[in-house]
Amino acid sequence: MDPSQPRPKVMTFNFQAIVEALPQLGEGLLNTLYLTFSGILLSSALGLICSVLRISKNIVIRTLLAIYVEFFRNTPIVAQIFYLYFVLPTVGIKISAFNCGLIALVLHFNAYNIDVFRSGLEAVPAGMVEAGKALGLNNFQRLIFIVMPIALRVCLPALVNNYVAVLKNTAYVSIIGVMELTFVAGAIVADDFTFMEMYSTISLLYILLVFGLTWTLRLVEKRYAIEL
Amino acid sequence: MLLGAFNAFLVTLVSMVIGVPIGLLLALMRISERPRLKMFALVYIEVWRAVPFIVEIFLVFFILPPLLNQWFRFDITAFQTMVFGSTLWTSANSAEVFRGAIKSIPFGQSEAAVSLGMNYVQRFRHVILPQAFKITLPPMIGIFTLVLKGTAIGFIIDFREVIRMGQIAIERLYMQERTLASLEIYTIIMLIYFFMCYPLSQLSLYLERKLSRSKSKK
Repeated sequence: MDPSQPRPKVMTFNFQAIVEALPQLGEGLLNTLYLTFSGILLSSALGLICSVLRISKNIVIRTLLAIYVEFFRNTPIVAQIFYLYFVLPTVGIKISAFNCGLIALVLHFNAYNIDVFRSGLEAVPAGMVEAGKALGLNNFQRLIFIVMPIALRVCLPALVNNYVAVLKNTAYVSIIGVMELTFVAGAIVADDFTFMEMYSTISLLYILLVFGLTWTLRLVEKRYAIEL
Repeated sequence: MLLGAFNAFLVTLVSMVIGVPIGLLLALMRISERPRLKMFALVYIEVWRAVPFIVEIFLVFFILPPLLNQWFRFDITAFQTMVFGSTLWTSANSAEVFRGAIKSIPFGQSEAAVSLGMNYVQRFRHVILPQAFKITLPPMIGIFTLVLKGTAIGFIIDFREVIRMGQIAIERLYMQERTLASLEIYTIIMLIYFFMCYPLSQLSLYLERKLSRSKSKK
């Protein structure tokens, strides 16, 4: 070693490490996909219900939901994940890390979905609702047959954005130890320091996932979305 | 912990100041007719928008210091790593915002400018960008808020922002045998972030309303 010159750091790229890591990465990928789809489904279902409540006539429910939405939209998802994971056990509720991450994701994106669905609900022309009233449909029937088909189709683009965001935010649950893609990569890196290979691989995987999801959702959007 | 909030705010500010002009440049490249510029901008934007912010920070954190170690200087602080990562993310997202704003300007404006004899640069500087800039203001505040919330992930690389300071505080309190502080401290963390971001989102809504009012007046 030459003492007069700084030792050059050789940055090599070891493809073999990637191949060896593929099984673990595959498992992490499965967990990521599971989190994404569960998160999307649960937060959408919850969001639909809550958004209808959000525009209800009861001012207490409206205010409570407004506070919930503002709170969860204006705090980072990292802080929310930590809060659920570290604070719930002290109150006595013991939940696994995976479920904690899932609940945090669902709660966070529920807040965004409530806003999206609410804008869709409010975009329904009042004339249609009144026509429903004139036909003698009660509140619930009006909701299902007239309002929802229009509202869901109007808010599809924003909804698609939110769904892709769910995929990207699953990376954050790795901080509490959920075995998803980012965490698995971090664990492998901690073992044999192949950070270049690992992180570029998962970057590539995330890019592929995001493009895949976006493409799929755009197909649905092209078929169903309308503009009012 | 308020020092952590100040740090987070500073990172966001710096990355916006650097990232937004880069984003404008990227947007112009994205809509240009030259294929090489367009391809470069397209790849850059799509990559740094698709990769989650946390993964991107890891990428920057692991790749940048050894590179700088090899070529220029020895150390790069966590603050600067965060700034670099945030700037990348900000530039990609503001490029998208600018592109949307520029596209939403009626084509007639551009045609009128051409009929007045302006070339490409003049067209943009005098006609399109002033109008587009006003449209981009509410989403830009949205990006600012997102980056501010994104700085929260800096605790992994020991960047002294709110959550990290909170963890340090919890450790110190734990040494003094005062456990169960985690509940209060995490609540305070949430409240700090909330009071930083909520005024910004209200500002964004206010600007949006003012913008739509001025447009409807025309």
